[in-house]
Amino acid sequence: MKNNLLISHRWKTLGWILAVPAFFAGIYLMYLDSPDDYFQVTVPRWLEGFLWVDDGFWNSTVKPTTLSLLDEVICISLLLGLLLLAFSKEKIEDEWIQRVRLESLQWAILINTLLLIAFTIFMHGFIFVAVMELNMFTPLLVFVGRFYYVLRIKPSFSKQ
Amino acid sequence: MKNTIRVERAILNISQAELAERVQVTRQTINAIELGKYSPSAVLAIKIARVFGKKMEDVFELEEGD
Repeated sequence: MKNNLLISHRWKTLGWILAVPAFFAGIYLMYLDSPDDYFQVTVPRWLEGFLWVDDGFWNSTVKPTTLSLLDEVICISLLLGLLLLAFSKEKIEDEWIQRVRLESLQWAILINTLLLIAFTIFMHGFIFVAVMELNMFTPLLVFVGRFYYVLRIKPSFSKQ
Repeated sequence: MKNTIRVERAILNISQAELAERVQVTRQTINAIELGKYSPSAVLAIKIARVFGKKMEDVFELEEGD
């Protein structure tokens, strides 16, 4: 089966290395009292003009001199790791695996959309923004979770 | 689509893994086809039938509703 969007199987290892620690670090981050105190870096002057820091209703008057990169590093590691896991080929990439890919993608979009609808109905104010942050990861998390469940975990329940 | 892969395998005395290797797919794919959970493409169906030295129609059969 030809699929030009998929990358080499070798990227899978890097995917796991990035995604798993970032996933747990992300959970830990949610319980930190002041996550912005960690991993502080000074913003170079030339970069200030490119940063948008919202200090009110779409105002961007404050230019930060220091930024905490902890959440950015965790977020990008998790997204990149999950992306590598989702787009790297299996050792033998055959037509049934392609179908599992398609089904997993459908599950991911379905669950993500149902969650979005539920959040929109039940969450209001700041909590809505907070759950939306988590919602950034749901499509890839559901995809990767379902794909590897069908391929690796489910067969061990039903050995021939 | 029904198939007689399990029977044919028994005649040849080969495992799902061996058949999978011969037609260059995963063992799970052969398992899914045997259980009727997945209908293979024409290419794969012909390859499987060839391993058993048969025609595709001798191994695979349409069911009602297909």
